Amino acid sequence: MLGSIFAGVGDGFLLFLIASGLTLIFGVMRILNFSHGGYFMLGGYFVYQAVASGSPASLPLPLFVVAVLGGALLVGAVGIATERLIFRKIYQLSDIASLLGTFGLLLVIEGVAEVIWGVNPMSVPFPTLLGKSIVIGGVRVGTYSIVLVGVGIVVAVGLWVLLRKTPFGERARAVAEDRYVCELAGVNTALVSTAVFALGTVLAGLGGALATPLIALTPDVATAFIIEAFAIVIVGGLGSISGALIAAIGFGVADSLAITYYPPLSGVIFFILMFVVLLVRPQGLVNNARGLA
Amino acid sequence: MKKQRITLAALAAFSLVLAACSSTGASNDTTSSSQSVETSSSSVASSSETQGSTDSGTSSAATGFTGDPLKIGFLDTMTGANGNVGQLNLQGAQIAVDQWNAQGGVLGRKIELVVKDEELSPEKTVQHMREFASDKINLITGFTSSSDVLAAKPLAEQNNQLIVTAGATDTSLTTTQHSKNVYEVAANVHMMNVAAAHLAGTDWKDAKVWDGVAYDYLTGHDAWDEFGTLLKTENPSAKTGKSAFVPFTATQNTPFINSLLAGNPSPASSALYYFMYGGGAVQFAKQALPLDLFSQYKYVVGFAGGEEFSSALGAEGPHTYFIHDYFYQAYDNPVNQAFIDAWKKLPPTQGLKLAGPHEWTEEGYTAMLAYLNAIKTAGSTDTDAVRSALSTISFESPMGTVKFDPSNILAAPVTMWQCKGDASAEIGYSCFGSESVGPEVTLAK
Repeated sequence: MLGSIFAGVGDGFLLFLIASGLTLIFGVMRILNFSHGGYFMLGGYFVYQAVASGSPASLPLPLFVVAVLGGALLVGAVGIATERLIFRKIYQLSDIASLLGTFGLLLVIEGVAEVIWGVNPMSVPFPTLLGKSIVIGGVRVGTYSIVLVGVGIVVAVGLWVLLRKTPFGERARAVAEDRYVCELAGVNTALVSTAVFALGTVLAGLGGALATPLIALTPDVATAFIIEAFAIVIVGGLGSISGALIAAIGFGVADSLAITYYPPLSGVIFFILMFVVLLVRPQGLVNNARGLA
Repeated sequence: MKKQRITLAALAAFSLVLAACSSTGASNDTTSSSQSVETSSSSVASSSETQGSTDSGTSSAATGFTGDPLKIGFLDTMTGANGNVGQLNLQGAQIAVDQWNAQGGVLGRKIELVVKDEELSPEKTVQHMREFASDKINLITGFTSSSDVLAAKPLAEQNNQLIVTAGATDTSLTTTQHSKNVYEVAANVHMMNVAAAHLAGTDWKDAKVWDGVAYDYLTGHDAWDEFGTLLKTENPSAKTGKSAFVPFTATQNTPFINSLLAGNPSPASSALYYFMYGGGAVQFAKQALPLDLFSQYKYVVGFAGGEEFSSALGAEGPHTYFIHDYFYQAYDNPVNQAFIDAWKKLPPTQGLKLAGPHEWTEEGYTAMLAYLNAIKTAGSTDTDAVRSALSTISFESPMGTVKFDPSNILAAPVTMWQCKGDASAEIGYSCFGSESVGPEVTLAK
């Protein structure tokens, strides 16, 4: 039981990194961005390109940290470019049209990745010191998973501080609540949107970069993770970062327990929980009637 | 209200994506247009009268083709999750085509491949099979997915087309779902299981408990069950232990790994049956490495995949015994040497670090050799004549002289070889220690 919970929490925090950016972008721009999985994938490939394409025998931790941060920032730059070139047009579309538009963009990003890196699975070695496990309460836990939990907590707290205690957060929440009034008040809403989109894509890139030692990098990894991230965002409450955190950990643990105690439910438990939560609480776990929560 | 509408829209779109992903294997949702692959020219190192080519494939162009080019259909998954398999199958088929064209083609005609991407989708498979029929292409190869072969089979029978599969491995294709229009080149799951059980009773006799991990689909469950049955015969002192079945879409593997570790495998007397391939096999391994799963087993035996696993894991890769149809170091004959030589002249495969041709390349190569030898023997490209020839001829392949079994599976050896991460190797791993189990063993049970 303890082992399943540890495993689920570790996986949940990784999913939170992806879902937090997704829900942040929705909260401000009111757009469900299917291409978010593409930014996650790009974060992974950027790290691979920087540190692992030459089959290194080992990966020094400082180099990995630099690659992860650089990869996340690079994805943020791609995010800014796509926001300015593509998303500003998508914002004007209806809900369904914008969903399909972002899904189309996801396919384009996957296609570009396929051209550049091919379809064969790739991986990044564990950085030194983080490729082992420790025993907690009789259960073996990977040190890298513990690091992921730590990063997830830092990101969650950081986002809370950013959105609640800084002028940028104040503006972002204001735009999320009423963009029109903000424009009348002289807030540069386009700039806020770009900044929030960049932050969201940096989080996706960070998730992808940090996931690389634990996954097989292929272009379709973008789709695999975005499906789970979407379920988390919907259940947590659209636009709710705290809801995404609760849902991500809840889903991670539920899936882990299902695998351990009733394997036929593994993979399906996500959608059963989503169905149940939406029946009981259609607005999601954390009610976020307006703006960011 | 607005928010509820968006939630509903999100759910609708979400369902669409799920449906799309489940039917396409998360592949790129673009339709690949039909394309004729231009064949390159190469020199004739020796005039091979026989079914294989010993051409080392270098320079001068063959001339004197007569008549229209012979178009052979190549239908495989070229993009998305399993696109790597299809692309390697195509690489092998193209090597065979180039070698034969350099020697004058077949029946004096230049050979051309017409390549279509079925995107791991039965619907696309059916669509492309119909296109082949309307284009009068009756000889088709490729095929990674056994499900897609089953989708293509009724059309092949209806339109009198032949299929020689390169990568499909499901045992049912040549047993319960047998068709006189379908021939299978790759060793099927049954043959690999028999070979593994045979080795479990000989080379790996000291493994007393076999745990298993497989993809959570019918073939994965059937393969593990069959191996357990065969193990009882081949090594009565051994037994099966824990098993885990991993969904194709799983992003989280740790609980499966923990469930295997809960059985307390012994590094001295336990073995792991690893029926996973592609990205899923790599991802499972990545999450198993920090938990020391592989070092708890004396033998880790991987099925249906090979160096793509070791290539992705590099120096971290565990010592793995692979069971599949072909390994380039295992066979010493002119056809294999010519095949390896031709492969070495190709540009490196994107994202794959190899020291020799991958078995999926060999499958595409041998499937094409089967067709070309059958056409040559039949003296015709007529479906019935080629089918008759396929069922009777022997031909030289990289694994030696082979012929199709009456069940339409190629009676060729199953090969076991070992690879492990090796920081001193240029490609990050090294492979060694191969052994063959012949069809007299694998097809006898």
